[in-house]
Amino acid sequence: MYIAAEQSQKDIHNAERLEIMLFFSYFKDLVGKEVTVELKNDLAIRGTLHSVDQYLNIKLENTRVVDQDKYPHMLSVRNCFIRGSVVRYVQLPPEGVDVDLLHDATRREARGG
Amino acid sequence: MSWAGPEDVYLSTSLASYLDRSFFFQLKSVDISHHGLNVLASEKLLVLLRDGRKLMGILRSFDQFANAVLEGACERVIVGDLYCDIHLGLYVIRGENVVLIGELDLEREELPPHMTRVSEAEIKRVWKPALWLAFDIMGKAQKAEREATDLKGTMRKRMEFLDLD
Repeated sequence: MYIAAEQSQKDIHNAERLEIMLFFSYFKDLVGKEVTVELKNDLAIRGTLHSVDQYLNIKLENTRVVDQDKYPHMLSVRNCFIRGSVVRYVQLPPEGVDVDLLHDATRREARGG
Repeated sequence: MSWAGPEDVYLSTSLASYLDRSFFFQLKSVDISHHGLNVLASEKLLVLLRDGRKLMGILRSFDQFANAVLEGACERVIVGDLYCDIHLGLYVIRGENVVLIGELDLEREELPPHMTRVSEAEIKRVWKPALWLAFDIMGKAQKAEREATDLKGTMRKRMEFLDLD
């Protein structure tokens, strides 16, 4: 009984890890595409996705802020590193979303690998 | 203080690659006096914090949490069309407060041309009323919210009194 509980704990942990891995690999596939990252402080930055890591930290190149006038200090920033924890949304290019593939991947994970 | 090297396996990958490209190898290998401020200036960073502060300086160290050490840091205060850089010195920033680390491109215009640089005293003079105004608006918003909640409460009480079922 105890072992079973421990095992299920492990499964939950693995599932969480897998979930992160899913989005990690998903974002890795988007590298090179133009995305808009909206932050929790309402700052929205558009740029080419350069890289992403396991915390979903994002690095953008050739950035430009959507509302330039409101954020003049961002004018001279061309490349930037965004901490994953402050991201609210990532707006993706329509061609970057393969719905069927995502459906399959999420179903597989719901089933537990 | 030990410097985190790019070979450190615990570093978040994107920040590490960012740094090894722009800082460590260049700063270590380049004779700074030769290139003068150019080398340093071209590696200047803008760090945006969660409280909205904008720090500028040279990144000297960092780790997987985005904790960072900024050398020669200054805070850029912008009030309307006026701005000012307040010198701070060496800053150690706790990673959780970091929103964004941006590489400053000095080829580009730093700020829009209509903005003017003023002294620290001047910016503080205009900053305070702006701050008070912000507090005032926040206070009013909170009060309105409280009143709305109170109203909802009394309305619910009245509904309960009617005993609608």
